[in-house]
Amino acid sequence: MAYLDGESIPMPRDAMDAHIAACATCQAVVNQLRGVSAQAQTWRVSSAPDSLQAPARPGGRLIAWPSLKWTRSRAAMAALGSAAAVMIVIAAQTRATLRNTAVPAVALSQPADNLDSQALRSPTGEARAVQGEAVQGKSVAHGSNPVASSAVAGQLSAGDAVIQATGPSGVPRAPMVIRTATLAVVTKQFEGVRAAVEAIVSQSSGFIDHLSITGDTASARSLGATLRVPGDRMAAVLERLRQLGQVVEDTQGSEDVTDQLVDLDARLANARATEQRMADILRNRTGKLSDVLEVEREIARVRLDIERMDAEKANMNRRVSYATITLTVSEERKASIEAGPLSLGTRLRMAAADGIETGFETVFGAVLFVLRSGPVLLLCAAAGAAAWLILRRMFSRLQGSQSTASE
Amino acid sequence: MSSDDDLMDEIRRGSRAACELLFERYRDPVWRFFRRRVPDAGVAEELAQDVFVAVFEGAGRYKQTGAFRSYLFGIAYNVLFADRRKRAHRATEPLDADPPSRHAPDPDAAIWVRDAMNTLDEADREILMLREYEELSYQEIADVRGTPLNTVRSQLFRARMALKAALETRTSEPVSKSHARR
Repeated sequence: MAYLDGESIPMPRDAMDAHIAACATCQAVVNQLRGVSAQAQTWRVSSAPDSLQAPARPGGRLIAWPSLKWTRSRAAMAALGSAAAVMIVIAAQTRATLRNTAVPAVALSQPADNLDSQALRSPTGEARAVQGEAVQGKSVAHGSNPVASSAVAGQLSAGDAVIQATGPSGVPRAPMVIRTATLAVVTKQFEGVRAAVEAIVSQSSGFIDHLSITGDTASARSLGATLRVPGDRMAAVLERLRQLGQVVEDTQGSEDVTDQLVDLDARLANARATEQRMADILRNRTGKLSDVLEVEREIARVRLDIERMDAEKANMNRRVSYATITLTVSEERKASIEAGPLSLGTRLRMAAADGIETGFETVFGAVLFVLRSGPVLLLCAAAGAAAWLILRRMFSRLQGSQSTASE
Repeated sequence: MSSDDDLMDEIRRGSRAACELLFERYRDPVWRFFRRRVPDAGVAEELAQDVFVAVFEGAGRYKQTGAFRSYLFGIAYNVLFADRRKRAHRATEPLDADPPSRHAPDPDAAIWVRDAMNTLDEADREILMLREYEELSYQEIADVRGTPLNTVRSQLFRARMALKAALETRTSEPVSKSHARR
């Protein structure tokens, strides 16, 4: 197009001529476009009429150059509107990011009026750069997008355990799984259990996180241990542990922490970027002493977050790399009672004890009976006494009337 | 021969001769600009007159930031769109309401081109007309339209290909049908 219109092209015109002469496809396109221009030129209009004369005196409506921008096509206005919308979104995100980092805005924009902070003063025009950095940091913080997050993880944590699970494109190629197992065994030969467990763990390049033995020779003993073994050797270790005795419990579990690790990496990278930005701000920006102190406090807070996340990540990586086996080994013991013939004294003591116990229980039972039935018995006694008195009085009257009649 | 900017300087100082010289230099281009975009020749003449009035009155504020042609056709666009807005409430008149110019060597061909132009998107049509008829350079078109230079390149190519397709469609139809449709 530019070649046809005589505009500048990114290669020498001679070279273009030679190419077009040799290339049938380009030649066809050039001919077509030339044909279109030639056809367009057939639409001709007459020259200006004689009545169109130079204005004798300037007058009428004045339209100035700056108003051009308001009369552009709808497409241009739509593009302008879209650009404005994008700018608003970017500004909002930038503002949110700056708010999250809690960098005092005054430190970025307000000129230093404190002579003590002159050393922090920087050339003008850096606020935009800071905004750009903040936007970039915001985009890093989007951990909810798995691809983006893993891409960030891939860029920012190369070399550690997490990157092993991410491919060059940032897409996880293997799940990061924390594997756990619980094994309970009962054995008759408890003496050699501890040594056997230590040997198994050592040969698998693992380590014993915790081990304890309870009980003594008079009772059943028990060994409890938490073993850490490489994840890829867990099956072999479990197989050898099962041979220690009779398995009474054998469970295995797993937890996929791929997403957690990726998100953790993204948050870690964002925190580090934030720390770096604030360090830059502290180094280059101007501001009051109070603002500087506030930035330093914020840096300390972010540093604390980074260390916490570092520890969390290291712990998670360790759990991913090493499977956890909770082992319990119990000694098998059978209880036996050897009862022999009792002596006379023992039998007498036992009889006496039984007698005392029986007497005590009888007295105690009587007391309980009285307490439980006393109120009812009292009522019955009162009713019986009243009836007896009534009958006695009636009998006395009857006897009196009979003696009177006989007389 | 004085340049356009020199003439504008003289107009700023009140030179009547510079006004006439500049007017004569751009009389036909401005007239054709409107004539191809406004169906009524009388209206086109009025609008062309308005452009020169605006140029002369605004000479004091003119700054040499680009080609004078960009400035001139930018004002012409302002005048054109202002007139279209003013007439928007009236019945819309098609671009080809008038018969083709009596000076056209091939009236049918002109009709086809005009019909084909009318099928283009407004932005494509305007940018193509600025290139084909006003013969503005890419940079001048970018200045007039307020679009990036690369946008002009791509839009112009798209417009030409669209015009080519439209012309092929129309030239394959009988002329009588094209006239009857109008």
